[in-house]
Amino acid sequence: MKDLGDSEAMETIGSKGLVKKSEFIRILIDALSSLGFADIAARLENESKTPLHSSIAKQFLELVKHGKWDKSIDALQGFELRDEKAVRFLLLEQKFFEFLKTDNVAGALRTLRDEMEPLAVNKKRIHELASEVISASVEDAESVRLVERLQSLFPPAVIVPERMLEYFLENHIDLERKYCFHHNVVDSDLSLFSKHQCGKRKIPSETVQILEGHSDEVWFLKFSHDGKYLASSSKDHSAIIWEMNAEGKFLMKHKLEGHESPVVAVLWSPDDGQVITCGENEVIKRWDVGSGDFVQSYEKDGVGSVSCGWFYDGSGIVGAMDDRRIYLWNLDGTEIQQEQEQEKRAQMVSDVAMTSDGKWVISVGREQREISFFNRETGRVEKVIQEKDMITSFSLSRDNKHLLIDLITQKIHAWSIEGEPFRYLKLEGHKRSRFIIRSCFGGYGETFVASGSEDSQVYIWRSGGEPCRVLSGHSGAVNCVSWNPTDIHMLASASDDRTIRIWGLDDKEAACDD
Amino acid sequence: MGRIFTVELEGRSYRCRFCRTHLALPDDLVSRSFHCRRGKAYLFNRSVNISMGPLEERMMLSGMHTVADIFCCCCGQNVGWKYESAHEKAQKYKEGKFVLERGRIVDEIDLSTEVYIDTRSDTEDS
Repeated sequence: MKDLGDSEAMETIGSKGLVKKSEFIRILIDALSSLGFADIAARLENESKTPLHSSIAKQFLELVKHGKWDKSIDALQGFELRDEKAVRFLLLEQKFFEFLKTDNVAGALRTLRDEMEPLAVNKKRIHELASEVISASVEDAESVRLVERLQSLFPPAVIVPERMLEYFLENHIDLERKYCFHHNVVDSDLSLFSKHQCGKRKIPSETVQILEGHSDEVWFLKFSHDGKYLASSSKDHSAIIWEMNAEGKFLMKHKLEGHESPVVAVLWSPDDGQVITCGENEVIKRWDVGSGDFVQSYEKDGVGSVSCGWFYDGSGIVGAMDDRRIYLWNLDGTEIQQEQEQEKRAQMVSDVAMTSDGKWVISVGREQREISFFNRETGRVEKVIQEKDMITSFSLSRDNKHLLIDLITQKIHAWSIEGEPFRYLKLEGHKRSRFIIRSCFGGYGETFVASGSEDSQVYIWRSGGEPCRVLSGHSGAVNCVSWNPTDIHMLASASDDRTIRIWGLDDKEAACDD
Repeated sequence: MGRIFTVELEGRSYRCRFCRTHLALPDDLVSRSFHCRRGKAYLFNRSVNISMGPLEERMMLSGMHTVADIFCCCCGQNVGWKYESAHEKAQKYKEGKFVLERGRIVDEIDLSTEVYIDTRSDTEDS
């Protein structure tokens, strides 16, 4: 900064006088060169008389960039460093790694012993590096991170870290997103040019379509993984597959008939090519989505089905039966014999699910107050979530890291189940006294929870406590909800009023700016 | 209406006379000497598969209590009531407990004889 007079160097921009003009210009120069506009960057440097780096700093960085370690150490003389030894150590470390990479063990050891050790800096690291020689593993020395580490050891403003402007701008958007409490837009909708605040406008609030097709209460529904289909099941003994058309509206594609009992669930295979349906205390059936044909039944003599699930890889079916046991079948219908004496791991009313890594089978356990995690590898229940009140149903987040539990006391609890399980949300507001009312995760990053309710409404929460939206429209209890995994603004609900409602954004509301 | 959620109790249990839904276990029976307008009633520590009506103040034989009628969640029959709070100290032991009317429940022994007579013989202790 020898070219600038003192007063010019301290010139600031911005209304609060916090940003130095010279620093601002240097960040711009760096931004232009990182975008590939080297000529324009050079012009800015010249015309503003604000070099990005002083000539010695430039020289030094060139030497570092080209791995000229000895020369770069010599070049340190031109700087007033608070801790020169630490900088030398860093540079020598790079020299050490380079020797190792070229299999020059002697050179590496010499650097370590003759040059690094005498500095008496970071003894622990010396030992670590020594053992790296023996173990013959080579840590990849990233020169980008090196500049970052060097920069903090140099006097401020001498070395400008690369891409700072990018970093600041991205941070700004990230913070806006974090502080947007009801955030529910896709990342591509965010812009530097508008202050971002979703408000509640981006939460589904309006009925966009009413699907009629069932002749009795609709008890369950779920979107396919690709979000293009919706499957619903009903007390009318059937399940329906609905397909989304080009205008985003759902039309009935197939009606799956064959059960002689209300169908309590319909679940998509991992590739969305098939669905399984569960008859109440009856059998499990598999259907092809393309043709609507029944393919296979899964049953067990003398017991009826309570719930079902797919194997994580679509190669089999899991079923909880009314003898409180869990059974596994191959796709062809043959039962998979399980090694251990089958203990009772489920309840008369219990969901069952296999996690997508194939490791756990989850069900409702003892006294209806526990969730059991059965480890398929060890053949034992190894994790348990204990609730005080009885559990009526549960559902997993798509990444299987979170579990949503519906309780008999009209409460919904969200648990993190990745390692040691812990509860992080308690939700209430909806009504449940007699039926199985289901809830689900959904919305942006699955940070929202939606639930049905016996008061005919759909409830949506963003965090603990009060719901942030209550959707009215149905004229009967809402038994189940499903959030479209590929459209964070679409929610579906199944009701005793025999219809399914698709909910979306209120166009007028959503278009408003704050 | 909706998919009704019920639990099954293990072992011999008292059930709803009308739809056989499980309501309570003998282990939870506290007293057989309760009464209601319709006849005898039993007091239980716990009861399952019931839904509660609104809370109301009611004058019982033993004094003023806050109670709520309870209904079998499957068929909706009024099977008894729950004590929410008692106004007198001596009655506090009832709080949180459930009364099931003898005429509205059957136990598994009754089921095997398929008899629907409302009254039982006088060999009950009170």
